[in-house]
Amino acid sequence: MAKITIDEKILEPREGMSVLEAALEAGIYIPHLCYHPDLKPTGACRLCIVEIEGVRGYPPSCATIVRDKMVINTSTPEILKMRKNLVWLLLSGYPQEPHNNTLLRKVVDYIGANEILDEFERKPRNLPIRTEDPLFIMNPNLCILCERCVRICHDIRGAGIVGYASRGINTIVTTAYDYSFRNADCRFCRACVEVCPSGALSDKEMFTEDERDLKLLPCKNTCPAGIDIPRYLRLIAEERFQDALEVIREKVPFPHVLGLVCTHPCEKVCLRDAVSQPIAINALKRFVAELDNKRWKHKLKIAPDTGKKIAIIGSGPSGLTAAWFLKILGHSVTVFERQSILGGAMRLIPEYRLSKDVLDKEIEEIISIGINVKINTKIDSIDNLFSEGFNAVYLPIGTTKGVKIGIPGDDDNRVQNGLSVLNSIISGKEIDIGGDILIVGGGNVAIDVARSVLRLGAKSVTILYRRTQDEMPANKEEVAEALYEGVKIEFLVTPMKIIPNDNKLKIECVRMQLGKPDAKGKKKPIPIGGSSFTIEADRIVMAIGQKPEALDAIPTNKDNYISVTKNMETSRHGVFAGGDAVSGPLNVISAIQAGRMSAMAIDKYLGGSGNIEQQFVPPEKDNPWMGREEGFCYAKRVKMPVIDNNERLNNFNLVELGFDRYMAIQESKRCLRCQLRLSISQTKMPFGG
Amino acid sequence: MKEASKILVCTGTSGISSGAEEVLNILKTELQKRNLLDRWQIIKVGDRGLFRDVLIDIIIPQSGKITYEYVKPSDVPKIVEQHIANGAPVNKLLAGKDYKQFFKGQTRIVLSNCGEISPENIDEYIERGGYSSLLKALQSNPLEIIVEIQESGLRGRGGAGFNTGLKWRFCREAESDEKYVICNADEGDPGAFMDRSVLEGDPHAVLEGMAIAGYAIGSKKGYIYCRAEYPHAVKSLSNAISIAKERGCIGSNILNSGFSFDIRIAKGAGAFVCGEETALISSIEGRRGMPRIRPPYPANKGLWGQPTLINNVETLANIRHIIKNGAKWFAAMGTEKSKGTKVFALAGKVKNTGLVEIPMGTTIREIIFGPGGGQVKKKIPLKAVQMGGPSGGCLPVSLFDTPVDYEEISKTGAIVGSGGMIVMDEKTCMVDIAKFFLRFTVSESCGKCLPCRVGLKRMLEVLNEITEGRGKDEHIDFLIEMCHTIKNTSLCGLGNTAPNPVLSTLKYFRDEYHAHISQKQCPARVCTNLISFQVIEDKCIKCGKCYKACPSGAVQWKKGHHARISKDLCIKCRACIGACDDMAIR
Repeated sequence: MAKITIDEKILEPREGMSVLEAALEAGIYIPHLCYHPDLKPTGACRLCIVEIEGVRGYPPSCATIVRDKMVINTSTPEILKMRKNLVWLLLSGYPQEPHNNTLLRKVVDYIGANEILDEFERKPRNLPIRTEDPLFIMNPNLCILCERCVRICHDIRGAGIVGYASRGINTIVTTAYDYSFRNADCRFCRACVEVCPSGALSDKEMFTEDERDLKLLPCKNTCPAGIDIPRYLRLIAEERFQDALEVIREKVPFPHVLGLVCTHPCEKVCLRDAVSQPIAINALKRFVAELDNKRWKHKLKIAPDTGKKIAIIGSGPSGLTAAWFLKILGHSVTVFERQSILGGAMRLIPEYRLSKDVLDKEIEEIISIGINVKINTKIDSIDNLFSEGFNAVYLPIGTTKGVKIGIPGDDDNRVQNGLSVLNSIISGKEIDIGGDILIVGGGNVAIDVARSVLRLGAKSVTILYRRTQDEMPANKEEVAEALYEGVKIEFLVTPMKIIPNDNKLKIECVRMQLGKPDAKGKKKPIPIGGSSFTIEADRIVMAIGQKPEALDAIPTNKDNYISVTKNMETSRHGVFAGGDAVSGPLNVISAIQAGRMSAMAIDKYLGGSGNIEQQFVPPEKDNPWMGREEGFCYAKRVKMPVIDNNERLNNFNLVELGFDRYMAIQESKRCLRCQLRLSISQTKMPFGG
Repeated sequence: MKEASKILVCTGTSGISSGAEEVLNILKTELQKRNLLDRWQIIKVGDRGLFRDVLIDIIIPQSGKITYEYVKPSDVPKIVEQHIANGAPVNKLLAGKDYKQFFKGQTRIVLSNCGEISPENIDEYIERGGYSSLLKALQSNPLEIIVEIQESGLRGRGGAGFNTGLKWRFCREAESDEKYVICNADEGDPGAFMDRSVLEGDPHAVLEGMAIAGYAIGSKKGYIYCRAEYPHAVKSLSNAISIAKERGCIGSNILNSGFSFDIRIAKGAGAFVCGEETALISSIEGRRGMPRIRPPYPANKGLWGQPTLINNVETLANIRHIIKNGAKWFAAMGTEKSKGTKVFALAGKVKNTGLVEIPMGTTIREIIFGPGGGQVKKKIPLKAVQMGGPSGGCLPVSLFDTPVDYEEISKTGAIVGSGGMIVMDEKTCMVDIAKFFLRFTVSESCGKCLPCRVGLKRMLEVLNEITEGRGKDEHIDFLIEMCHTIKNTSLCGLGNTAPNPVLSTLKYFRDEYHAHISQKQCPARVCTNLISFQVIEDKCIKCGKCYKACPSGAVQWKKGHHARISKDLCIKCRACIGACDDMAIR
């Protein structure tokens, strides 16, 4: 091992280290701007010059490899003076004081500039600022030509989008032919922004240090269940489909169900959207779920029995998820379901979106790890459960009760509730649903009913919604499909009165306009005076909301909602709740996350660590090499193939056909791979910052 | 068989730009008219390095060589009629005393073939001993060759003056299956053209040197990195390469030795910095020509990451002579540490300008007053010599007795460099000269490292202030401080040496800076803003030259009277100052 002396301190750096690295590691700060721990040294800024005994001149410490017996001085008066001169030079062409919080600013403050020329006026370059591209801005006037962006783009990403043009004092970092980044086939990985020490490259959207992960890797950090989306997209691109599936399974036991019905908040925040269109993340999830060869089952490790018993009331996505993770942790779990079939609210999703087989299969897989199930069992008393020996109870009871609208005439038997219509359809009950159907509401239930009754032979289907399409809580894609299939939606309309006639129902409606946003930012609809009109229908389905059923055992609010602590615990010790019954009707992925959170909380409550993390695919280093791909920024989202409209009626076949292998690989390769930016090393700052 | 009579026409770049091709065409037509073409052989040769416009040699066997200089197309019929057809030389067109003096003081080794043989004809090269050194080398051990070169004391002629044999040894010792030899023909110093003349006039000498180097270090592939602004050199080289390949002098299985060495030309786009070896390598690799930090040195990691030997044209052209005559012969020339000869591109205010090859150790004065023929204008004394181009410095007359030797010249603040030598007289402003070279380095800086990119520019701005009359005393301190910082902190040789012209003028001609700053005067009358365009009557000799030179009618003069300059009419073109040999206008 080499022994060297830096500023009279004796060090034993590892072989191959540079003098700068050895110094930094030993806590001796040598100022530097162009050196970056992930990049090959270039020696452009010259700030890290040192004196080495027996070596001529002032070598840059970043590019000088340590040798035994080297004696190095980092801050002789001569060096300090030259550094100050260099800082003066650096700022002499700078348009302003360097931005706060930049490395440049800190290094400049650390060294200090030597004002070696009186009355000198700075000579900024006045180059145009480039704002035309998505996600980041390039202000070449702030550039200090440290070449960090160029090096990371060339040497680490293999993309080579930015490079030098012109020379000498006119040198500028730019794209080939000054093309926009989009046209230069930039990968928009923003590694360049990450390493830029001066703010010449900056994110369009500013964020605080706390928001960093969310803003830079929004898909993963927006997913309620925290699925490692970038990782599975990469695995799909690498054609490692089982690995990809297992990455999803590390977080959720319902990959296939989610692949069909998830509301994919991840796609709404996907940064690829700014470049062209968001990645079809959910369709890719479905793709790998369909290829499941059950390899994960061999990797699944169930902990030895803890002797603790947990009762779960309700078998929706939240209940089953909690059951799954608690069982894996070694607890004994019993799921109570008052219906004859497991699945909860997932069962209400029409089959053209979620086929029964898929749901059955995934529920079966969960149960098969040793979860006890009691169907057709209604639990009335939680006290009894505790006396039966259960140590904890989880209440993912869902929102199973339809909200009544409360207008004259709504008690006619031709006025039905959305949830019960869906229930009837699922259970295969004969329902008379021909004729003209009117549906009131703008949520997923309204849309599900509309598309279902259309398939069951309704003559016409019209939805009344009191706000506009933008405010509709239903999935945008679902609304679009409904409209495509022929559902009519009357926006800004609300029913006031139902007049039952013998053959038809007459509905008096009024038109609305949107008022000012309320405290939650929702615009309140206000009736327009004198706008009332009448429509006729054979049946009306009310889908204006739902709430939990009343529960005696646990205090609830007036709408029967249960409140919980941040540990998912209700006001009663040992009783936990989650899912729609706590949050209000949301979606499968949120329910799953409630199940995960509850599993953690219950395990902790029972004396466990609360750690439900599983690892099916060992972590591996993400290859940061992206290469160059012509037309990358213009690659459109792969379109989901669907069955023709005329083949949709009279059946409940899945509308979306799913991706094939080629489509899946194509689509996954569109990913900007935002996660790579987060693994770029940070530069040591002066002042120990 | 009777030996044919020859006519040599110098058609290198210098010749062509002076009209040699037209002369050549007329020569052919005239010979044809007289049916002399079959008896006279016209040979296009390279330049001799002397600016004498078109040079023609008439060589008649037994009666020797007769040279004509300044040949104009209109002179050709006369030469053909009188001399070629009738054997009577045209006396008034013959090369004169100066021509002879120019060559008398020289020891031409590297330039020995330039302007004497046809670069297109390999046989002429072989007749004069060409490729015999390669043959000799191929019969010896590579290590012996390296020892020979090392012992000869040959040092890199490109500027840095590193021991060539040692460089070869490093490359030889670097372990790799793949090694390269690069000939650095990116001659970039303003005014230097010795490499071009060798490439155009004696291309095989370079190829032979490269092949010997390749054999010595164990390389099979060579590149000649030649700037694209040298189209004739590129043409001459590619022609030489293909002929040498045909003859088996390079290519596979050279001279049946089993050794193969292929040579390719890589054209540079004319960036000065590409003469820096790491930038040059980048450029060949297809990347932007920017230097990188050394170590690793190219001898270990060069082209495509492989050990690479980079030698300059003049260095390589010396090789065959050392192999042929031995290290001792070479080492006998020159000084203790600087051996052999060096070619200088002599320019400026001397009678004979051009390429001068002299043994190391010759003094600057001997060059200027020997081959150079001394100052042009008797009345205007010489003031300085600039040596080493943009990386070099300006030396005052008091240092003219300095011998040309790497160490001796370096001590003065200039460098031998690639051999630029610009002679200046009292009409040259030293601040302006510093500015000239700085402007060159500013525009040729690659932009990679901060001190060179920004520092030189800031210095140039200050020099502009000084020459435009806004100079302040603290500007001098600023320049010194900046020179020091740039010299010490720049990444490559370009930046390390770019302050030299400023430093050396500040060292030897500080008073001129002070004159500009304090008195707002330019003693050499170059900086227009500092000239009042007034006639100093004490100095005026009433000759009227200024009057004749003035294009705007601002100078009033009558025979026997002092000249006067009208401010209203003067356009400050400095024509009067140029015409005045008595420094009588200020």
